Amino acid sequence: MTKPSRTIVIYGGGIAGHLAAAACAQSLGAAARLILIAPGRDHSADLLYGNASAPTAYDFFRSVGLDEPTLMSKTGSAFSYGTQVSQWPGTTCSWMQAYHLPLPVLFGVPFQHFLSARQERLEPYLVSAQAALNGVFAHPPEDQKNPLSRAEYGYQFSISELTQALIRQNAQREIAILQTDVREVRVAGGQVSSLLLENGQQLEADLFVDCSGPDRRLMHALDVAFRAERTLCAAHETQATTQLGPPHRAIVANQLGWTASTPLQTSVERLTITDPESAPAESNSPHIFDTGRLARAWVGNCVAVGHAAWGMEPLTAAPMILLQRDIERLLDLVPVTDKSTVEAREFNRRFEDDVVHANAFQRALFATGALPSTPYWQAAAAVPAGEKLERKLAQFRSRGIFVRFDLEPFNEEDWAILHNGMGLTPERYDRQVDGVDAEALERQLTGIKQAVAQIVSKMPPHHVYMSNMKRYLEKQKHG
Amino acid sequence: MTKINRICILGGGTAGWMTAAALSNKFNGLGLSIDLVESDQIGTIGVGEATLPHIRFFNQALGIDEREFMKSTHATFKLGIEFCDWGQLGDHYIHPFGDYGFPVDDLDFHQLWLRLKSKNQVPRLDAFSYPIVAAESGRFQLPGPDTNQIGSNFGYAYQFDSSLYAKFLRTYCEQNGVTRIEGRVTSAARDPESGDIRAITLEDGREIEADLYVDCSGFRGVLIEQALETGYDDWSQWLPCNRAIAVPSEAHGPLLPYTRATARTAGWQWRIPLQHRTGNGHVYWNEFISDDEATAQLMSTLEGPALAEPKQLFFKTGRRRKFWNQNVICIGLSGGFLEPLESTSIHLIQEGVTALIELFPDADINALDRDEYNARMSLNFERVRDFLLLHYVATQRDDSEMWRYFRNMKLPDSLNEKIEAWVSRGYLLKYEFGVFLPPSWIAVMLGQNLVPTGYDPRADRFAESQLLTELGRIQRETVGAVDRTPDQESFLARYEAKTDTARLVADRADLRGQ
Repeated sequence: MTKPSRTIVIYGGGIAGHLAAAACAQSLGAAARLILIAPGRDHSADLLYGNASAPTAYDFFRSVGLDEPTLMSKTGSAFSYGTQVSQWPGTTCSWMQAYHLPLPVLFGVPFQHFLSARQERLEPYLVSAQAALNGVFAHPPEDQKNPLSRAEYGYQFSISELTQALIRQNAQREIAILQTDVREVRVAGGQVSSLLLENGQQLEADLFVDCSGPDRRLMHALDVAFRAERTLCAAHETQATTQLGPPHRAIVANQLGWTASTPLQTSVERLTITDPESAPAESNSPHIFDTGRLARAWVGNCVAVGHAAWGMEPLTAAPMILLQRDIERLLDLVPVTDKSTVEAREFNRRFEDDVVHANAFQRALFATGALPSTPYWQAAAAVPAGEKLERKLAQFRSRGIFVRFDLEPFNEEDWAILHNGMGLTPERYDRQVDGVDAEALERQLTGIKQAVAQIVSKMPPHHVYMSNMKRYLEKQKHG
Repeated sequence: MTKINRICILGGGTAGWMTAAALSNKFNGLGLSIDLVESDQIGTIGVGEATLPHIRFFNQALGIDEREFMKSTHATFKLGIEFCDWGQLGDHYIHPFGDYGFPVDDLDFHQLWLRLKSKNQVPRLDAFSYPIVAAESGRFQLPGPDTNQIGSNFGYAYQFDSSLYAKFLRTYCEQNGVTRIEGRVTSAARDPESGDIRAITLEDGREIEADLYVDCSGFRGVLIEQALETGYDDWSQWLPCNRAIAVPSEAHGPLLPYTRATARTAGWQWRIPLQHRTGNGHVYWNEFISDDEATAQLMSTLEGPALAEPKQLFFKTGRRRKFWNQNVICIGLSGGFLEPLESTSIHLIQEGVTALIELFPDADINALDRDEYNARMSLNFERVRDFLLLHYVATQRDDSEMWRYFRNMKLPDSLNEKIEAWVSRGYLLKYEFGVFLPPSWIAVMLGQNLVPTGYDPRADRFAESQLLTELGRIQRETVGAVDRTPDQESFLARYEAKTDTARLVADRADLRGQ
C-alpha cells in the first residue's frame, strides 16, 4: 500500500546533507516529512567535492533554488568552461578540458577522423576552449548559426559558500533542521531502527539518508564494506583577489601530486592533492581521505549519498557530478512501500555504473607513458584501469572511435577532448576521409577555426561580463 | 598488409541490398569494388514488411526521396503497432512511436497519470498520445518541427513490400557502381593459414575472390555457418515460436497507419496494410499446433481473399555466436532471427550495416574491430529479445499450452527486474543503447494489464486539481490535433506518395485449388 506520507531523515550538515534536503523538499513537497540532522561540526572534508560543476548542474542547481542569479549574486561563483591541464606527466601535453556540444559531422564523417588523419589538435575548433584560453565569457545564444551556441559551461564555486546559501534557503523550507549530532545508530535486522541524538531525542524514519561524509556513520553501523583504492591528502587555501580571473580551472601537476586553482569573484581557491606523506608544509589542515566506494550504497532503509558512498579525487567535476547523480537517483527511487528491495537493487545498479564510469574518465588521465616514480603517480598508475576503460582506450587508439556505455556521466565530447588533449593519436582513421575533397575540407576546417576565433575576439572578459550581469540583476531587483 | 578493397555481398534480399546501398554510398569514390551475388532461383524471405522510425534516417543518409521510395514500395505510413488479445482475450492496445503526454520537470507524464488514476476517473493513458489516437482513427500527417507541440511529438515508420524495397535499392546500388552477379554459390575456399574465406565458387564454375564478405544468405548462413561453422545461440527456450505461414490478401477499407499483431493459441498473427495489398502471416510454435491448423487459422481470419498460395517458413530464434568471424560479417537472417513482433528485422539489418560502416576495415582485419562489432550487435539482439519476451510473459492468458508454458517460465534477470520495477512503482529501467525506449515499455506493460500498484511519490507534490487541469488540456489538444489530421489515403494523395498500382484483386482461377 502506498503511504500517504513518509518520513525521511537526512544525516549530515555539509553540502551533501543540505543539497539532498533541498532537493527532497523541492521535489517531494508535502509528500514527505523531512528531518535534517545537521551537526555543527567541521565539514572540511567537503573540500573534496572540488570547486567545479559540469553543465548538467544548471538544471539541477536551479531545481534546488540555486539558479544562476542566486549563484552569481549570493555565492560569489563564476562561470566555468572547463579545466586547463598543463604539462601533464606521462605526456608532453597541455590542453583545455572544455565542455562542448557534439562536434560537427563533415561530409558524412564524424569530426574526429579528420583530426586523426591530419594529426591535428581539437582545441582550435572548440569555441568554449578558445574562450576559456582568452579569459572571455558570454552566454551561448539561441541562434544555432552562431558558433558560440556550441559552447557549454558549468560553474566554479566555493563549496562552503554554496553550503551557506543552501542553509539560508533550507531554513525557509519545510524541513525540520536539528542542530545536534547522532549519539548512537540503532540497528535491527539489517536496517536502521532509530537514531539516538545527542539531545536525547530518538528518531525513527521510513528512510535514512547518510550524508555524513567520509565518516559514513550509518553505513558503518550497518556493516557495509568500503572498498578503498588509494589514500590521498588534500589541502586547501583561499587567496583573496581584486578581479575575477578566467572562466576555467587550472591544474598544474608536480612530482608530489597536483594543484587546481579556481578563480571565483573575489578569490582564487587552491586545492592540492598529494600522497599522504607529502602534505604541503604551509597547509594548516591537510585532509587525508580514501578513494573508493561502498559495496552497496542502499542497504535496508538507508541510502548513502556523496562522500558517505564514495571517495573520489577532485581532478575533474566528477565529485559534483556524482553527488548530483546520487541525489537524483534517490529522488527517482523514494520508496513507495515498507519494503524497498526493488529500489535498493536499482539504486545500487545505477550507483555502481555511475561510479565506475566517472572513475574511468579520471583513471584515463593516468593511462599515459611513464609517470613520475614518486608515490602519488605510482599509486595512481597502480589502480587497475578496468574492463570498460580498457575497451574505450583500445578502440580509440586503434581507430579513433568512442565506446559508449549507457548513461555515462562524461559524454563523447568530454572523451574526445581528453584523448586529443593528452596527445592520443589513433593508429587509423575512417576511410571515408580519403574520399573527401581536400580543398573543400580545408575550406570547411579553416572556416570553423576562423569563426571560432572571430566570435571569441568579440566576447568580453569574464570579469566584465560578470559585473554587467550583476548590475543587470541588481537593477531588475529594484526595477 | 592487404588493403581491403574487394567486397562481396552474398545474397540479394533486403539485407543484401541494404548493405550494398549503404556501403556503395558511404565508400563511394574510394576504389572499393562491391559485388553482390544473388540467384533468381533462390526466393527471398522478405523479412517483415513493417519497420521502425529509424529506417527514415537510413534512407535519408542514402539521399533517397521519400515519395519516390513510398511509391516504388507501395508503402504506407506507420504510427505504431496494435496488439490484440495479448493481455487477455478481447484486449487491444497500440504501441505508438512517441511519448505519452509531456513530462513535468523531473517527472514522466505517466507518473502524474498513475497518481490521478489512484483516486479518480481518468481517461486511459492512450488518450494523451497523439500517434495512438491518430492511428485509431486511420489518420496521418507528418510531424511538425516543434516536438513540444502535440501533433508533432511522435515518430513514424513505413509498412512496405520488402521485395520491392530490395528492388528499389538494387537500382540505387547499380547506379552507385555495385556489380550484381547472378549465380548460386556451391563452395567456399578458405585460406589455409588465416582461415579467412579466400574465394567462393558459383554453380557455373566462376570463382569470386574478395577481401571481405558480407553474408546475407539468410537462415542458411552459407559463409558464416556452412563454411566457418561459427555456431548459433539458440534462444528458443525464451522465444519458442519456430514456424510461420505468410500470405498476401486483398486490401479493403481505409489504409490504416498501423500494423496489427493478434495473439493466437500457439503464436500470433500479423496484418500489415500496404497501399495495394495486405500482408498477413501466422507465427507459431509447432509443438502446439500443426502446420495445417496454423494455415487454416490464418486463412480463416483474412480480411480479404488471398492473393497467393500461403508460404511456409521455418526458423529458430537466436543469434550467431559471432556476427563477424574471420573476414565474414553476417547481416540479416544469417546473423540471427527474432520474430517480427515489433518490426525489428529490418532494424537489426540497419544496426548491422551502421556498425559495419563505423568499423569498416582498411587493411587486414583488426581483431579489435571484430570484437567491437560483435559486442555491439550482441547487445542489440539481447535488448530486443527481452522486449519481445515481455509480450509473452506480461499476460493473464492461460487458455492454451503455449500461454501456460510462458506462465511457468523463468525469466532472464534483466527482464525480471524491469517488470518488478514497473509493477511496484511505474519505474522504468532506462538504457541509452538499444532500440526500445521507455514509452515502448510503458505501452506494452500497461497495454497487457501490468498496472503499477504504486507511483512516484514526487507526483504527490502537485495539487490534484492542477494535475486534472493539465491532463484535461493535453487530452483536448490531442483530440483537436487529431481532428485536424487527414486520413492516411488523402494524405498520401496530397503528399504525392500514392503508388500507380491499383489495389490487387485475387485471381479466382488461381485459387481454385484451395
